[in-house]
Amino acid sequence: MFKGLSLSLLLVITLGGCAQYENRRGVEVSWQTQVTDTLVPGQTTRGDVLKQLGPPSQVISLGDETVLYYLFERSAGTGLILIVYNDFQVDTRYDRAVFFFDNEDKLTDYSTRIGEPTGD
Amino acid sequence: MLLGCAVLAGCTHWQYNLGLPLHEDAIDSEPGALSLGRVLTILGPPQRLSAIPGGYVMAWEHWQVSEKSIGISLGALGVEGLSLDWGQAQVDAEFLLLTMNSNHKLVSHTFSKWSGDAGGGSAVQPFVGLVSVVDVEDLVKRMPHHNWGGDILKPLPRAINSASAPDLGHSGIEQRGTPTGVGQRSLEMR
Repeated sequence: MFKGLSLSLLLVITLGGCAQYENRRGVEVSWQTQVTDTLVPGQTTRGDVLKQLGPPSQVISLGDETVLYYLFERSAGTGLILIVYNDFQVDTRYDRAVFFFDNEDKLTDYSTRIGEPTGD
Repeated sequence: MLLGCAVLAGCTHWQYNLGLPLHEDAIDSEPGALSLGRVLTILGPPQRLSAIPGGYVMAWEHWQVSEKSIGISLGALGVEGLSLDWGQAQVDAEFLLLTMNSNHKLVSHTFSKWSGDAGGGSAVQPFVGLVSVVDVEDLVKRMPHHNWGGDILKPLPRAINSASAPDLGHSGIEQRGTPTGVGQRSLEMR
């Protein structure tokens, strides 16, 4: 009986495992502060932003206005594998930047976020 | 423990955290009093954005999805080749929706927060689990922005709906897990 119990315990410990993984999707994060600090609403054009940041994830037409939306999605997961019990956690964060342009292709508003802290 | 190892095929828990928690009182101004610039300063870039007639809508979201499943082999009970599976999903979500007019002023805002059962099921299956008793794939899928260009190149029955598809940013937005049997998605013939 004791031998069987020890064997099963050993089996669980031996077969236990863990996992760590990451999933990255989207455009390269190039909207760091040193880049966005050079942007001036009313002066910076859509071409200037495209030149600095490259092609966006999404171009949205808002009537006379346009929006360039940049998104980088990062999922990080950890897993505990014990055969009889497995636990996984996946945290997804969104690095993103959005730029609004008027009908003359001049920047009107923008906002960026990089590396959001994990939870409040 | 030996009995547990023999009987339990496995118990799995998946926890998905999408985005960061929102604050219900982040936007407490009267419509018309808040500019787009101020909104972006307070909330950062929206996660979803689309044009609408006379302006646009922006949305921020936070989701926590928990999926639990247990598989029990009935072999130890003398029923060889059968397994009993059980699964359940729980969701906690927050969604903030803002409508702006073409003058970059806030027109309306609404915040919703809910938690509840997102489904589940149980099954007795032979040899291998062919049926997934709990499915949260539509709740944890990637953001539609990644497929923006590709959406236009979908097979023709779906591509002809691209002018009205909510993933392209010019025909409204939709929340995760929205059923496709009615509404805009029902026009996407498959």
